[in-house]
Amino acid sequence: MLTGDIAELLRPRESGIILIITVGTAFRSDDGVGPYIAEKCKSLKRDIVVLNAGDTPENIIDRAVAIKPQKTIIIDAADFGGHAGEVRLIPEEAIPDTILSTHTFPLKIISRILAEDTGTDVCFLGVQPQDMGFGEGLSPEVRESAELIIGLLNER
Amino acid sequence: MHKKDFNINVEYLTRVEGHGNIVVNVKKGKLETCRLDIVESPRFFEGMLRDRSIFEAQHITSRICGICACGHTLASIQAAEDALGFNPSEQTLKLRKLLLHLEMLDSHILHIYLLAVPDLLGQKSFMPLIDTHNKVVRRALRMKSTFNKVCDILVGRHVHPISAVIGGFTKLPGEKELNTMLHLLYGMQPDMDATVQFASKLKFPEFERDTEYVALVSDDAEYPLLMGDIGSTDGARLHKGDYKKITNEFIVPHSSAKHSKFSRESYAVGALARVNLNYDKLHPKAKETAIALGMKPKCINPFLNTVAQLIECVHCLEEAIAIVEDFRVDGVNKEEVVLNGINEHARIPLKAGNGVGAVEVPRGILFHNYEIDERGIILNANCVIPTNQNLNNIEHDMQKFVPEILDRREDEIASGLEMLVRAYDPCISCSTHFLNVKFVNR
Repeated sequence: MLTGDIAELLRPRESGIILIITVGTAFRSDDGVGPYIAEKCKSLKRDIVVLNAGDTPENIIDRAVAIKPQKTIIIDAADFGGHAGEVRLIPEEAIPDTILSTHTFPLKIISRILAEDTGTDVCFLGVQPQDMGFGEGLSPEVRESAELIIGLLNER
Repeated sequence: MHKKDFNINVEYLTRVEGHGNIVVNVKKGKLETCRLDIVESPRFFEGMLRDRSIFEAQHITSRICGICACGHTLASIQAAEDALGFNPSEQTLKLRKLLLHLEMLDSHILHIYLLAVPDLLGQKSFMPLIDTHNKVVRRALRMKSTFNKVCDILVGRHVHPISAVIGGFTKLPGEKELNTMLHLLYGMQPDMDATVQFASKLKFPEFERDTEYVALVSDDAEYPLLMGDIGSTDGARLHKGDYKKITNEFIVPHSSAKHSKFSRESYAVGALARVNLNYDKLHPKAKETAIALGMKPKCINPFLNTVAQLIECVHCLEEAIAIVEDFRVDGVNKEEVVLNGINEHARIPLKAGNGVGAVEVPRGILFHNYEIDERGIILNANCVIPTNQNLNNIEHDMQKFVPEILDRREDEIASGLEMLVRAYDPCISCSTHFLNVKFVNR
């Protein structure tokens, strides 16, 4: 279930764009929650923009800066020791400085540059995965949370 | 002689791909243990390939690595075509060389900036540089992103490419794609110049150990990355089919990755090996860079592998631009497009065979070897990864390096050893088939 805080976070403001950046790969089971949300956001509410960064977040920085978002929410699978499908706001200081994968730039670098260039507030929304092994498709718990997030982003 | 006792135990070495530990034990100033433990689980890719169609091999083996996915793809395709007796067209070879240049650029830039530069600037990670070296961070981001994009244009995506297959490419670039690639590549020249300027101010550790360097060599004027024989700085030259005479893999108890040796107790592969063996074939601008950065063959300081990577970046950028310019002038023959990737219409005749792919990927020479039956089904597979070939050499470097820095504090010795290992840009996930430093005893 999503908490009221998270529902409020995803509610469009009176002014300014909310940019949702999704991160992850659909080939690592629940790590695909970000791309799954991006794929399903077909009729977005006004002033919400979704960019799927996939497994190369460095590739979307120019497009993200050009959008000049008021608020940016980075959605990714995050193992914070919660129950599968649990959604939590992850404070920036909890995002590690080190590179978890040597394949890509640290997400914190991406968020810092975006904030420096646009003045946007950046926050990280983590979805607790059940399985991050090789494979396609989300676990039922993670899919349910993804659908709740999609419901908040799409027009009904 | 420093008569001290200490143990170093670095568990989970950071800023390398995969898991490894450094274990050092010094007693009364004498080095007793100095190991690089590889603790990553074996991944059994060769086993996965058995009983699969040879036309699936490049898609499976590209999954060995998310950094060198294009390199594994190219080595796999070359081994498969060798087994099938298929000779690719000149256009295909040229596009594959372009893909390899882009792979080198993407991987080397990542290693230079994100993995090596923090060591050279005395930082624990890349992250603090956003406050101290903001322009450097932005340049690194811009370069990595651009090389990703050019790769995406050529083969669908950089990680696990789609369109490079046995026989050629399932999608060929048109005029618009060529122009976009050129625009992006020319746009990188000022950033590359700035990177060389930045590197010229960095101070690398002074350490030397003479070793044997192994890389592709050839008789033509081209810096060999995609094709050639296997050469060594000790004078050996063998056909790629004889790769096992070079690699001589063996097992050590502390490593889940095999070790290699050839003419001496160990050998090294990678950018430094390539520059040492093929310096004269570098692009003139890359040679100017080597001179500016003070590198000339034979360089035996392993820390300067990072400098060799930058020299190769300059080379690969200029060569990539030249290839795309050629295609813009001559055009791309779209009739060569491979309409499907699994040979449904038997465009490539099947036959039993045994083939070897030997390709220079960012961390060194990569071998793929497949034996197939008359239906094109893989009977046996063998992949020898560059990091495997370097592990034994890294340990011999460590064993010479530690006695030279015994007067330093333990944390300085540990960070020096981590830096030494990182200089090789090891990919432990690939090799397990790595990094913590353990100082034992006290």
